[in-house]
Amino acid sequence: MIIIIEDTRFEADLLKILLDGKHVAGHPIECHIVTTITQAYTFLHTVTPEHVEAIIVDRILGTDDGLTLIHTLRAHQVWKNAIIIVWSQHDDTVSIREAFTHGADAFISKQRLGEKVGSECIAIIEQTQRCDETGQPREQIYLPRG
Amino acid sequence: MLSDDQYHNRLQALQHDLRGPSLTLLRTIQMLRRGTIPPAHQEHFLYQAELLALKNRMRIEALFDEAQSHNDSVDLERINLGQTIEQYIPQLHDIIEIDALYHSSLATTLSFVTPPHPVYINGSTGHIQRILENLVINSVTAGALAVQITLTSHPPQAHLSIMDDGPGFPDEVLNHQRISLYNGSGLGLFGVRSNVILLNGTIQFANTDEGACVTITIPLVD
Repeated sequence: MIIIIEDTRFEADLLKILLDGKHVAGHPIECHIVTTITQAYTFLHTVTPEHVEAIIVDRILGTDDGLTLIHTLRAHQVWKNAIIIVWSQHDDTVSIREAFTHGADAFISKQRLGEKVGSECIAIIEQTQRCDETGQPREQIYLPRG
Repeated sequence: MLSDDQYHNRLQALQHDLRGPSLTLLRTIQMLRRGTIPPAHQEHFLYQAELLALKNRMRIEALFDEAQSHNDSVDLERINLGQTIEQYIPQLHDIIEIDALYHSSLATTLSFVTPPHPVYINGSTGHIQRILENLVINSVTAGALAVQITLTSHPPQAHLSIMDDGPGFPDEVLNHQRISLYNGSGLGLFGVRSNVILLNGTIQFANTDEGACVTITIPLVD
């Protein structure tokens, strides 16, 4: 499962369309959309990390900052190793650096939104999973605007 | 005048509010044309594309109004405010219906209460429409199921209130009674404020037990 945390429903739906039906390590992807950080925390209580391939979080969620979620998850006993991808319209160098500083595994510019983004997300997840399996440090992956 | 920080934040808000939706719209059209979006979902995305295009237009109008509010070249004329709103209600219903179709939800109910006598102000139909459009969309987007527009006349002022049963305004709007331009939010409300200034009016944001309440006061004319 991929959890999409995105307050713009349209963008979340597009991302879901681009991800649904794809596979990670042979498992078909199913996306679950939440629109607030509070909803994300509530949903995370109902699932286990083994069932979640990745969390894709928008940087700006109304008045909330998606980075606070990353910070919280990285300090959490159960979710500290979740694969987290920041997905943001704010793709300036400061925003990118902040995302990685807070513990994001990847940063995708929303300007990249298009048919390839689904496959690119899967590639990020698989690459990060390979790092975990081989005991190598995760790479910080940045996909700039297309 | 804006400080450098305010100007930077303003630009950030604008790029977030305009660039993102424009790109989403473009990509959606491309994906619809290429068949990337499965037929079963195409209507759903067309509804949302229409809503997004509408919201983008509103944002651009808000910028236009803001620019106008900084000069004195705006031509206002005597208009019947109640009648102007009444005539615009069907279009507001259309906007609400598109949103409901997209979210597969019940459409927000919209009601308008106006006094039996005409209420005249110096204004323009376009400014009134944009105020209502932004506030109603805000309420609907916030999840309100009912929005009530009420016009009253207490000389020398006309009072226009837009009340909903949604979650209410965030504290930052209520505490400062000004519109945040941070984090890409607030361009719609900023546009509302610009329009109210153009009408020589004032605007107040409040929360009631029911939800959000916006009160706009505009000078009456004979």
